[in-house]
Amino acid sequence: MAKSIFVIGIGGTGMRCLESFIHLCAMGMFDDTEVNMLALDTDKDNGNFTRLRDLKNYYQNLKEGQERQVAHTDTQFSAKINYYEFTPDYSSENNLSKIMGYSSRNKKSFPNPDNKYHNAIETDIADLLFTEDVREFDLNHGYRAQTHLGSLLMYDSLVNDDNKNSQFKQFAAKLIRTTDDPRVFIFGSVFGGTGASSIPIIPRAIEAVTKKENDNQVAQALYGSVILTGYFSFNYNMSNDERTREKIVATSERFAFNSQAALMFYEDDASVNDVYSRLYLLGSREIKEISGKNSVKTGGKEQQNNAHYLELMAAFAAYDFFNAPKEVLKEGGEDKFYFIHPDIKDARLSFENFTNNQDFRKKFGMLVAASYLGLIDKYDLYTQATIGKSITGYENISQDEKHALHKYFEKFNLWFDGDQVEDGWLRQLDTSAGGMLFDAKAFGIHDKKSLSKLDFNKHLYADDKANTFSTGLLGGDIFDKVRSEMNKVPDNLSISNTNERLIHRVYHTLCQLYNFK
Amino acid sequence: MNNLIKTVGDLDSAVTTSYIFAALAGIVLILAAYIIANMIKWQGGKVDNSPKTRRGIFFSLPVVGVVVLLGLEYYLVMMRIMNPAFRSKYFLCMAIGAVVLLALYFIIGFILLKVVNRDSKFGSILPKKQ
Repeated sequence: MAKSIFVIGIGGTGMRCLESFIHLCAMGMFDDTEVNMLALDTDKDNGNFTRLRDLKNYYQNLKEGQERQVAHTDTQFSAKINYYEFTPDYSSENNLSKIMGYSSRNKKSFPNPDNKYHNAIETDIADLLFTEDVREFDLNHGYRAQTHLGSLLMYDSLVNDDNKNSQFKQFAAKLIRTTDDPRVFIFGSVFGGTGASSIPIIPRAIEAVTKKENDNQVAQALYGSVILTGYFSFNYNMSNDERTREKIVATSERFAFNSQAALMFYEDDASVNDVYSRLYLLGSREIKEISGKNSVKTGGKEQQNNAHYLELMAAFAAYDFFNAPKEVLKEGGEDKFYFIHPDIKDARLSFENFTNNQDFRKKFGMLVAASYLGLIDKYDLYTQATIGKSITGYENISQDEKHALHKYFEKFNLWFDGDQVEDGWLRQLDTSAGGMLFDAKAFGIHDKKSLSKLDFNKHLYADDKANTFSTGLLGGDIFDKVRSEMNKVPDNLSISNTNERLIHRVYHTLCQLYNFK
Repeated sequence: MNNLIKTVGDLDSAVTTSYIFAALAGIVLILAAYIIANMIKWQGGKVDNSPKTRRGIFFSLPVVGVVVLLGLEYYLVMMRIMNPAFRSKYFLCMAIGAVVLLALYFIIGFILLKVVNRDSKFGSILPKKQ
C-alpha cells in the first residue's frame, strides 16, 4: 500500500512551492506515495492559486483523474495526489471589524450581549495592535504582511468553520486515519502575510479540528516546515488615492524586517519549537526585482509571480524531510535550523546543491527530455502512440489524458502564444538562477524553428557527465533513435492505465539512451 | 559471349546456374529489404508514414529483382543460344527462375515478418490491425 504524506502550501509563496512539489512528483521523486496536498490562501482569486489548480488538474487527469489515479514506482508521475483547498470566506464580513464585531469608536456600545468581544479594556489593548487601517482593510486579497492579524483570523476560520465538509476538515480527517507517524510539511514565506501568519498556528488548528470532529482523537503527526525569507522585491507604484482606498499595502522594503521578526519569534516560541521536528531555512543574498509582464502583484488574479529556484529548493526540503529517518525526527536533539546558502555568485545552480542528487539529476533530466518529445511538433511521440498506426498498444489513451499530458509539459517547460515563446516553470527557474542545471542551449529557444532544431540528445545537462546519446554514424535523428530504442524496452503490463504505461516505457527508453542504466 | 551453348550438356549447365542464381538473388533481395527497412528512419509527428515507405520498397524490390534477373539471363545466356528448341527450354527456365526468386523472397520475407517484433522497422511493413 502506498505511503501517505501531507503537504500544506500557504499563501502565494506556498502555492509556488506546491507547484515545484508537483513537478517533483512528476519527475518520479515520490514513488509509491499518496500525497495529500492542502492549498491554503485567503485570496481564492490569486493567480498563483489558479495556476496551481490547473497544474494539479493536468497531473491528475493524465492519471485518469483524482478518483481513479494510482501510485506507481520507478516511473514519472508516480505519486498519487489528493488535493484539498481552503479559503476563509471574507465575502460578506471582509475585515477584522466586521468579523469580530469590533469597534473602538463607539465604546458605549459595550457591553454588547451579541458580541463576545465586549470587554472595553481588552478592546483598548487590542487597539494598540490593530490600528484602524488594519481593522478596516479588505481581507479578500490576503493579510498583507499583517501577521498578528493573520494568525488570529486564520486560526479562527480553520477551527470555527461551520462547514462540516470543508476540505480542511477532510484533510485533517485523512491525517488522523493515517497511522504510523504521518508527516506533514508546510510551505510558506515569512516575509508576506498569509504564510507567516499560518505557519505557527496550523499544527494547533489541525489538532483542534481533529479533536472537535473526531471524538477528541488527535492526529499524531511529525511536522516540518521551510521558512522562506525574502528573495524577490517589487516596485509597486501606487497613487495616493489608491493607497488611501487600500489602507494597507504590503511592500517589499519590509520583507527583510518581517523575516527577521519572524525568525526571532520562531527561535523563542515554544509552540513552534515543540511542534516542529524540523525547520529548513532558505533565502538568497540576491534579491531579484520582478518587473514587466510577470511583475509581482499583491493580490487577485494578477498575482501570478514567476517560479523561483528557491521554491524548488523548498520543495526539495520537503523531500528531505519525508525521507529523514523517523527516529531522528521523533527524538529531536538536532539543530532545528538548517542554513542552506547556495553560493551561486559566479557559478550556476548545480545538482550538488540538493540531497540525493544523483537520483534527482536523472529524474529531472528525463522529465525535461520527455517534455521535448511531447512538445516538439516533429516528434510528438505521445500523440503518435495514441493514433496507433506505427506505435501499437496505446490506442485507447483518451483525448483528455493526452491533452492533460501535453498541457502539463507546456506548464513544465514552455508553450507558444502564436510565435511567442512563453516560459514554463523550468525556464522561469533558469531565469531566477541566472542559468542552472541544464545546458544553456536548451534555454535559447525563441521560436518553433529553434525548438525543432534543439539537439537535446547531446545538450541536456550543464555538466559534462556522459549522459548523452548520439544519433548514429549515418545521422539518424533523435526521434528515430528514441523510437528504435523504445522497441527494446518492454511494456509494463502491470500498469493498468494505458497513458501511464506509455509514460513508463518512454521514461525507461530515455534512461537507457542517456546511460542511466 | 563467344562460348555458344550448343550441346544439351551446356544448356543443362546454364539452366542449373540460372536456378542457383535466381535462388541466391531471392535471398540477397530479402536481406537487402531487411537492411533498407532498417535504414529508413522512423518519422516523428502525428503520423509516421515510414511503414508505408518500407512496405513500398518491400514489394518493389522483388519486381526490380526479377527484371534485372531476366535481363541478365537474356543478355548473358539467351544471346548465346542459337538453337530454337534450346531457346524455348531456356525461356521456360527463365520463367521458373523468376518464380523461384519471388517464392523464396516472399516465403522468407513473410516468415521473417511473422517472427520479428511487430514494432520494429522491418516488422512495421505489415499493416497494424486497427
